[in-house]
Amino acid sequence: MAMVAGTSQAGEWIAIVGAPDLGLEAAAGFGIDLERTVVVPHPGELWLSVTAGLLDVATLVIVKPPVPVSAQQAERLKSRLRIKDAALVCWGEWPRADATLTIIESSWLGLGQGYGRLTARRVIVSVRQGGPVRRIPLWLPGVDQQIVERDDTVVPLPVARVG
Amino acid sequence: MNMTVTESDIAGEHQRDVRAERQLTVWCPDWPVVAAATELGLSLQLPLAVFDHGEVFACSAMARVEGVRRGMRRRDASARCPELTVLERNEASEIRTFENVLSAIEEISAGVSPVRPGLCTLRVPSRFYGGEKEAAAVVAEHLVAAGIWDFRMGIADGIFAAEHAARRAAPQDCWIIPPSGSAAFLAVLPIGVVENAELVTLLRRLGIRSLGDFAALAVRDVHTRFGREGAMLHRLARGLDNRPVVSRRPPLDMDQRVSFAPALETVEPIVFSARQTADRLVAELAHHGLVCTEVRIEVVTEGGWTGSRVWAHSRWFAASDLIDRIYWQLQGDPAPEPVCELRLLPESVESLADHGEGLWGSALTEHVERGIARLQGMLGPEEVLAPALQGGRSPRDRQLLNPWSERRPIQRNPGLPWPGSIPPPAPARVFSTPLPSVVLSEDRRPVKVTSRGQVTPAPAFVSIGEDSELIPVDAWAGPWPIDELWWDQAQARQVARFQVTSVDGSAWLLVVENDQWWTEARYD
Repeated sequence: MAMVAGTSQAGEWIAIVGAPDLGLEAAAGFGIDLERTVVVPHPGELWLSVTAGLLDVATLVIVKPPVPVSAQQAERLKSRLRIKDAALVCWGEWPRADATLTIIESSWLGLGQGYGRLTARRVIVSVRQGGPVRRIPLWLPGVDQQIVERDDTVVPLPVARVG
Repeated sequence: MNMTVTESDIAGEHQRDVRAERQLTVWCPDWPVVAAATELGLSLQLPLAVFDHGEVFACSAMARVEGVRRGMRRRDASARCPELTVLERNEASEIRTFENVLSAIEEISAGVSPVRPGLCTLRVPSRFYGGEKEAAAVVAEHLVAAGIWDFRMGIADGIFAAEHAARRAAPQDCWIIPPSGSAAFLAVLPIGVVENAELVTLLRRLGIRSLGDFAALAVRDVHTRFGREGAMLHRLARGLDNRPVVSRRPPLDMDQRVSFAPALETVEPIVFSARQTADRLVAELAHHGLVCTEVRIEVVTEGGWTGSRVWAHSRWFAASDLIDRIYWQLQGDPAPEPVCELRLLPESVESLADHGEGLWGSALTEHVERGIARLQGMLGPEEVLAPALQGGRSPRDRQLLNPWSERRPIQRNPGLPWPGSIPPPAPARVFSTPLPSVVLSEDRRPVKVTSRGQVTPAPAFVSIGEDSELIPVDAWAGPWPIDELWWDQAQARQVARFQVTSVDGSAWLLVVENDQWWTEARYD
């Protein structure tokens, strides 16, 4: 979601397909503009055509396929992406993605034994994009609800292109 | 107060005094009561009273006989008349019901001007009907035919005199004051009829008891002492009422309907037959330079079943959009019997000028609208949603998903504090149905929360979802107790929320209600 926020703030449309349990408040908290967001929670078997249709509308589509994606389907969407100059973020497995981001380590701060509240989270994200795997430590989110690289320099995440 | 009055000011007023127009005023007594009774289907023979801010605003004749008066408090009114039916004032419904009166008069004469709900005025159409009395008789006839029984009419120079003449008249009758007789008629009325409470008390204290006494004061003195407002009322008292009457334009009737005989059962032929009607609606609106942004579609079946739904469009409805909406409504909300009528009622109509396409390309959102309409055609209108945030305590309550083209208001204001809600960050996954969970202590006993908010024993293991394995708890916080709607037996909920992190780094939002644990959301 944090990846998408940059696009949304730039005034582009976002679409979310097949993720009925996505927290909208968290999305808004990360900076996604809900006014320019379309949600299709239950596309069912039509998820591929819905995603293709939404690529006409939105610049960035988050999709959580209900079934494993075949290489052929991925190829068809990819050719469509090239025409539309849009990006697809898949929540789950995707054959031959341009980049893959995985959270490999995550720990929440702020809770004690019966007191406190969740305030911040330390994560290590592994990024595989062509070359060797990079590991980036991040605050996701930090105490001030911002996403910060952990050596405390503010780096807005680049919008990843998957698909 | 403006104390300087020039000679020309007063001279100018004299010039404008020359002629006040003959006005026919129609007064429906106790209109707030009549409107409320009509809306609720109550009989006017019952003692009814309409309350505004806890005071009697208007009451029916029956209630007045029992001693209920305007301005009385609710308790006093009920004491005088125990069987009194208490109604709340609803201005919108007063205006809406008064529409019947206005349209009944508009059938015979153009240029009706509503003064307030219950009172309207028009220029006497005396020449056409051969006299003022005859004109009033025709108006009365039309009102009775429209089902309005209790009204009185007055004809005089100017609205002020005509209104007070109407108050003198018998039901369904007209009290006519001859031309330039207004001053004499008004002179005997008590000063209290002037609608300015402050001025009335002051004048009473000055010993002025009737409108005649007030009219007898010199124009210049009134103007210097009471300002423009006082001078205007003084002119009314002298029967020199030449306030311009602004007549209203009758509202355009844009509703379109199509009837099917014989009634149709399947969706396709209905939609096909509605095509022309939709075209006609859009063309009719365009003729007046208007576009429709919200439309109500009503489906009526043989047996009297009516399906009704409001559809909104972020731009405006073209005929093909209307057809889509009809199709979706018939699919999503199928009629149980054959359909005999379809109505298209524009709910909100705006000027085309505000919505026209720009010279260089049209609005950016247009292609979005089109793409989404295509998806709605594929999946059904309920499947493509527009997200929004609202107020609430659980993460699920705080979000709102509406069908894209349907406008539903936010029920809870997100700006309010909502005590008991969990502070940010918000969970990234909110389960649409909470997962049943188990929370156990170190010695595998279920964890409970007492009614005073105490957690015994401390949680040590948690299993999320049915039949899943126990995960050791790393840290936890809570409870955030909520005692919602405790005053309402049926809806009352007493719950407590917990944040729990497990040793594998995942964080959860759990809720306990009646010793049953649920997982509402996951932080990831």
